[in-house]
Amino acid sequence: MLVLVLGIVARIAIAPFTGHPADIGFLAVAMRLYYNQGIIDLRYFPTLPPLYFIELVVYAPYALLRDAGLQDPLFLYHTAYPIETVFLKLPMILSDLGIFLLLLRFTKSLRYAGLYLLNPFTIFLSASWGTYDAIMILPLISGFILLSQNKRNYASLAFALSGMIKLYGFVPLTFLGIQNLAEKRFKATLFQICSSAALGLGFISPLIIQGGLGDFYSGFVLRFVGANGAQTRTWNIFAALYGIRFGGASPFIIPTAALVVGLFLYQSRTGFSLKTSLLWTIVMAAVLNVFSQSEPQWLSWMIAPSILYGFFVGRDSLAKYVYVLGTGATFLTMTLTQGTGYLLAGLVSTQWLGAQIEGITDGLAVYSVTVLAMIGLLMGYLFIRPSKFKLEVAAVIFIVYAQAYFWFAIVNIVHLQ
Amino acid sequence: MKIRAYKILISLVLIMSALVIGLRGTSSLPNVYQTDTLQNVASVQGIGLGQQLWADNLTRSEIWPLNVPSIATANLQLNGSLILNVGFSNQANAQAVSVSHSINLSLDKNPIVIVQVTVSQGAHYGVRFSGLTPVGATFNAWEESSDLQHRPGLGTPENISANLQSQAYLANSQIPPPGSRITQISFYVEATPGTQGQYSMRVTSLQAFAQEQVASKTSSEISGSFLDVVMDLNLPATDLSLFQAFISFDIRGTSNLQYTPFLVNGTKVLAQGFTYVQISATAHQNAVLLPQLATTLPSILSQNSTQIIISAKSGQVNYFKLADLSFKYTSTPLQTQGLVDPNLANFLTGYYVLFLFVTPIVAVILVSKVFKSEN
Repeated sequence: MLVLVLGIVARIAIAPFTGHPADIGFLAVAMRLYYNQGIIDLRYFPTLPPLYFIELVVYAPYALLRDAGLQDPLFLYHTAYPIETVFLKLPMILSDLGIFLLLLRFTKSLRYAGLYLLNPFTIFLSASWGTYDAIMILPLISGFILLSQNKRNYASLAFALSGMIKLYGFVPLTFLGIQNLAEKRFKATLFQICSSAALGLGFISPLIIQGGLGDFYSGFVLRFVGANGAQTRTWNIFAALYGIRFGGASPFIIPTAALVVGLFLYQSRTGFSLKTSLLWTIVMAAVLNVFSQSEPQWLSWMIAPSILYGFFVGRDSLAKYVYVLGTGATFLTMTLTQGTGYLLAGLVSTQWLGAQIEGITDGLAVYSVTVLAMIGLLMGYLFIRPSKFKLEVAAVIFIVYAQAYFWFAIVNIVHLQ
Repeated sequence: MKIRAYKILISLVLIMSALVIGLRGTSSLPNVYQTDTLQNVASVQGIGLGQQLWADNLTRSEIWPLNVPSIATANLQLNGSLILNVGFSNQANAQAVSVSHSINLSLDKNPIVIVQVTVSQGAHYGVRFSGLTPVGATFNAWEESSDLQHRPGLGTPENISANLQSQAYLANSQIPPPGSRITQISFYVEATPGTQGQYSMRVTSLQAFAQEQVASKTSSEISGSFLDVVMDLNLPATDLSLFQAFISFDIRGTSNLQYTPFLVNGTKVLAQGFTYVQISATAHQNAVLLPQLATTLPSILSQNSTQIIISAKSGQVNYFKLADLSFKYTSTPLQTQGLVDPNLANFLTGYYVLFLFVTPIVAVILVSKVFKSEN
């Protein structure tokens, strides 16, 4: 109970005063357009549609409160008001609590569940940034739990729902589809296809009606797979070391993703199992983080599935390691990709923790090298013989960070040709 | 009577759904505004190359003086192409070799200079212009952060275009007075600190053209060969701040086409989009323009009106059709600058770290200790 209270307190304490100015701004403007002007802004809403509908529901009481005279003065330079921000973040915070309760109920271990709820990265993403990865992870974890109870149809529904929120949810759905086909469970396959199509149509059709197929194809399908031609910022090692930003996913993503599917099939040659699906779902998250047009929040995709996998295979050290990974990811994201003041004050380039660790030269390289090392260590915890968790792993990560800091930020090695 | 959880859930969903439907468009929430119509577009024009104003046949080396630092070597040949071979030694500082040439181009004709150039990989290069006002004052028409400076050599031919009026504005934050002329062009090859070896620059074509405007006959669709596509807008007045602009369009161009959308008002960039490369999957594109992305100017200067400019960074636009435009305004825009009391900043940072790191980490340590003793 104390863990749950602390998890809620930590989130509620920081949620009103923080927020990613652009991401929270997108949500706030879309909700105000609906409740103030009556405009349904699905066509240019920056995510897949389910988030829009979820936010509409959760925001309604706030609109009612404002009409009842609630005063909500703007804090510093944020793009949304403090109480409004809390309402906008509520679906993410509630999803975190849902994941915690799912893990607790399934593992019957407060230690495992607590490692998720009290992970600084999950707090950071849901309560501070206001990004919606937890909303995708909730049905994803439900899917694996349902799969463990052999409720395949419900599991495929959960995975499809997860994929409708962020496309990563389709990874376990694909593995489950392969498993169904290989085991000649054609009814289950048919259900999987039909239910996914129905969910997809249900959520996507309003968007297509509003914007047309052309906008949907280029603005959603191609954008979400990083192939719409936009040269956006990319936070991976290749972008850092090549000195360029790929216009989407790096060319390495296709062979590496195919390799993951191949290894999943190879490991399943003697029979499919939940553990194999879960394992390669985590590995796919790692591959997407390293090789695609990844964003810092994608690192959270490995946390809850790793805790669940750690429980399934008795790798306590894995569940503990993802806590260290989350703590490191929070620090790196805060200091090297945003600057503390960005989420706290709503201002770009405000380094309140100190110029020595924020806004440094080649911060992208320091970030991506350290993240690569953390993901490499995660692979070790996943595949190498289980061993007792040692906190020294945090020191190893710090050494990698310090080395990257020295070579990239001080020596500036990228510009020494 | 036993109340089942699903009954509560269904009741909650019904209540919330009723709120969502009932409150639509009625709430007195903070002001937002969206204009979502093509009627705001007054005209669509393509900006391309018109009459040739000047060309150099690249044959007379005596009119291209060479500037070589003592630590570098250089050799210049002009035989229909300008070939500059340079040798750099390993130095702690950047080095550059340049060649320049006197020209006489009136800025009143809004000239665009087109250069075809190939530079070895490993070196960087750029092209710079300078000129004279009618009263004889000199001015630069190049700016350090412009796309024309410090370009990495690709080892393959590149076509560079420079709108000289825009370059002069970038350098001086104002348009030079009427009657001003561009009087010098120079190319340079440079090496970053620590770079050594032999590099070359080969200029195979150097021409200047007048800017030519082609107006769309249908007001939304245009075809030809353009460096920029300009849409004049009549946006309704609002006291709110721009949050985002969206533009949906079909575009086709040369294979090397890269373009950036801008929303400008006169010489002020209100919002900018990402740079896009042409993709084979579709000619359709949805671009978002954000005020916080506004960091550079488009290649042409806008007159005193609000315009969207699709500016080719490389290659040319052959076909453009506007499909939709949408502008969102808000009373709480994204700010790029502002002051925060340092004491408040320190307090907030401490508060943040306390709840983000200290509280959860201490709790996890305590929880694991509790479990350890239980075991």
